[in-house]
Amino acid sequence: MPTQYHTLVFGNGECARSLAMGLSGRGLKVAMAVAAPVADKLEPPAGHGDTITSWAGTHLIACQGQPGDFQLTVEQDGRRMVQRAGSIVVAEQPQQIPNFAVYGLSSSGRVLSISQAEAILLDGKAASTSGGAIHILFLNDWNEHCHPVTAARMLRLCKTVQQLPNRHTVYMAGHLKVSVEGMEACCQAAKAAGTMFFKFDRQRPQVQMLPDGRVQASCWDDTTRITFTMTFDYVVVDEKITPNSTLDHLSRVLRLDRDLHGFVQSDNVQRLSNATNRRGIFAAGGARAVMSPEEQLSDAAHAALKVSEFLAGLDKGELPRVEIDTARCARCLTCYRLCPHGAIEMLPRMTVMPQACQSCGLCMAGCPNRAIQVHDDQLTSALQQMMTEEAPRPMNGPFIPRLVAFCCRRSALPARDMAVSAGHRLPDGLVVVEGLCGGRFSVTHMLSALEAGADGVLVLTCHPGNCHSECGPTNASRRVDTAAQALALADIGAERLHFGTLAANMGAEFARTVEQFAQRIASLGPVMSEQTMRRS
Amino acid sequence: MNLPERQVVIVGAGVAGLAAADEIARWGVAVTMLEEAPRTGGHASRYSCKALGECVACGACLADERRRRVADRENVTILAGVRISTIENKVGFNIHYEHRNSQEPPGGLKADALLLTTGFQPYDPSDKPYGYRRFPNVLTLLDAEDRLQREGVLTCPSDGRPPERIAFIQCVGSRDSRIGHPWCSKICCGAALRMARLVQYRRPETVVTFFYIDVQTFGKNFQKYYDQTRRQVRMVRAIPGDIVQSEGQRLQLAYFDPDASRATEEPFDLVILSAGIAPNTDNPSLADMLGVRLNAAGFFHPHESDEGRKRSGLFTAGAALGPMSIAESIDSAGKAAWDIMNYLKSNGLSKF
Ligand code: SF4
Ligand code: SF4
Ligand code: SF4
Ligand code: SF4
Repeated sequence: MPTQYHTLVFGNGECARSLAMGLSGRGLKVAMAVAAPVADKLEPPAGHGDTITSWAGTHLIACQGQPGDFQLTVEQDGRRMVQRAGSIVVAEQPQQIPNFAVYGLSSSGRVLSISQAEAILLDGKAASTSGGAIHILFLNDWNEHCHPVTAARMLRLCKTVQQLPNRHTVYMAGHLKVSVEGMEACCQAAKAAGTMFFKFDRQRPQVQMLPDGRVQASCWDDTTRITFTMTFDYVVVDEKITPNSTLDHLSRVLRLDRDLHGFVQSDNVQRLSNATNRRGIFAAGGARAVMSPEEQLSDAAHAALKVSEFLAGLDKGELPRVEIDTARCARCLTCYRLCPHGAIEMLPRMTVMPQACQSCGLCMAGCPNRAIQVHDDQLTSALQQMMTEEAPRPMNGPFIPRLVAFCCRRSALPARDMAVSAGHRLPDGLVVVEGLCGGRFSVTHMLSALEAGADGVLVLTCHPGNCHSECGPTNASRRVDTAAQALALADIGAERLHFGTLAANMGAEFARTVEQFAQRIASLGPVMSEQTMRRS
Repeated sequence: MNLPERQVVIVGAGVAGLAAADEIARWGVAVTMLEEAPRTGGHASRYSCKALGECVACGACLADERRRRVADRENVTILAGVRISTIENKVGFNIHYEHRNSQEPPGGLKADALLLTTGFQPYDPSDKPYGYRRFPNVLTLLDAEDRLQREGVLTCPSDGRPPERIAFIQCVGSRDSRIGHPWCSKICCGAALRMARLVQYRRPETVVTFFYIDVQTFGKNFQKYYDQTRRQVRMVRAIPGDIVQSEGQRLQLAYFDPDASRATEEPFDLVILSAGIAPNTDNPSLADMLGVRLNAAGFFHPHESDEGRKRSGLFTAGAALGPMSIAESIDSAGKAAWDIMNYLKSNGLSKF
């Protein structure tokens, strides 16, 4: 590979380091880049000095090139350098923000975040049990929901403290998040040791800081129907885990989708486990979701496998070629904006980067000048066949509508197969035309199907939020609307078009959708008769 | 006896096994999957899509996708309907199996690495006072999933009509030290609420009551989904005491109403029990054959743990390690695949 590094890893936490070591163990050359200027922590992991390089204080300026050969412009100490890497992994550690304000408190020597409280306990100070009794309040999962990974730390600490002599703990939570291994048992052990648990849905406790620094909490207990008021020497509050602040910048330069919290990777199961919207760029550990330290390490292993697969070319099957006809292109940038995979570059001509392109066809379906071609023989030949074949129409007997279903290959098509193998009978006149993505079908495709003699056209895609190309269903549904408007001009009713969303495992629903549509079209009759009727 | 040599044998073709097979087979490694059930997919493939117009990230379609991908891989052999009879631990593993429901002669395999993805056993709530197996309209969540998948809609088994009033009862057989299950099954809060929302989405007049202890977080978008859910589903923080069946198959459910602070009763057409995740009943015998111990709950230890490392070449992933969602099982399988590939490589058994 003509690149300096096989993989560039952003991050320097446990996950990033474990990932880098894993890849280096396979003989790959890895670079690690961190924004933090702390150079001393940036020693490459022991034993990996030959294959892992690390740069501190880096700032990513630009990323060009394509999967397998990214050119990254990086600034370090005011110097710009261009580094080349075959693949990129974003593995920045998340940040922990204490929820003091969420509970109406502010940080003090007695009001501690879970991280502070853990540190004190590890320090041994809190463990020294001389002196009188100490009352400690844990506030968890109210006003804002707490991630189970943090709740687990709260519960563990509460149990440990309660088991010390002279320590009395009260745990107030909206919900006990016990879905982390061992946590239900931990709660039970804390309870057995004397922790008092209070849970509430509507009526939340009142907490306030007293002049002497201690904290008073009043809490209505649902079960006993009594208001308790207690004073605590210490309060431990939970934390929110948020994405690393560098992700904002990184994801902008790398053109990566993010979820609603700002983690790299949209909330789309198609990206699981480590994929991003761009081929060759991966997300791992706390950069993509909230995870426990163990989960982060496990994710590093999975990401290392995904990177290895990509570098070995095992991640991508044969896909149809996509090309832009520069003679027709008006450089309107529509395709650049539409491409969910960051596969179109201005070099300065609009160019599809073949290594990055997933052949979803979104650009093609949206190009106003029809300058983009997807060399997808199956779709073309299916359409051609429809255009040339005469519709089988028995002279007498019932009207059997001819239906064309444009199906996304990842969702509606497997749903069709599932329907067939489950024994559902599909309507006689149904022709299925598959495309790599529902967003690949253009208004022209839909209209030409009707022109070729179809009585009704279905466009069936995946559910929004589950699309491999992110916006396939939205684009497809918009195009169905546009096609419907065009039909109105030709006196054809919009009922002849149907847009639907299906998951790959919805066989029964596929059968029901096409059957209902077939009935609707059967009652409308052939297109011709409708036109005649409307015109007269 | 000369056994056919396979590099990796995967025990259990649920979502974790399939995901691992898919990853490992990519590298040209020969994989054989042994599955007790007549078909692959495991429990994960019993879940239907819960999208409410938009995907709610339940992961069910991922399981299905892994199954299709593995079926297309030439270097994966799937032996379904078989049961392992013995495993000889030598260098590698000699595995002998029998066919469960056919006259085919028993077979054997030699494996360099063995991956356990035996999944879980759904808890059987027959002993709980909810009338399971006695009242037709008391189902477990997986029973309800099976009905939904078969019929496309959720109906009452007694008369095939859509239920007007549904109760979900959470933590059945989980978080329960009395039956030796002091763990949260992790997936049932999400699975039950998604089911509740889907039923209401398809039939908005359905009244759903959700009996729970605590609601566990699921999905990246939990807060938003849960806030919406609370507006549509009646949430009652109580675990019902029992169920009796009154006339016309109506189910009378007794519980302590936390708002009114008193015991009360309420009728429902359908009750869905969130039966928990219990260890696979085959775990003890498998562990025995392999010479490893199970954890206190009866699940396997991770292969990187001290206990797991005792048997080199043995790997574990998915719900065989404890309760896991579909997405987590896929993650776990990916990690195991990485570890297996490194193991094969370091023993000179595969290029990687
Ligand atoms: S959408 Fe079409 S016309 Fe516009 S830039 Fe892309 S290829 Fe050119
Ligand atoms: S086909 Fe899809 S991935 Fe390829 S350039 Fe067009 S929009 Fe991008
Ligand atoms: S993840 Fe679940 S909700 Fe989303 S499309 Fe797949 S099966 Fe449907
Ligand atoms: S996930 Fe929810 S229902 Fe299941 S055991 Fe845990 S708390 Fe109970």
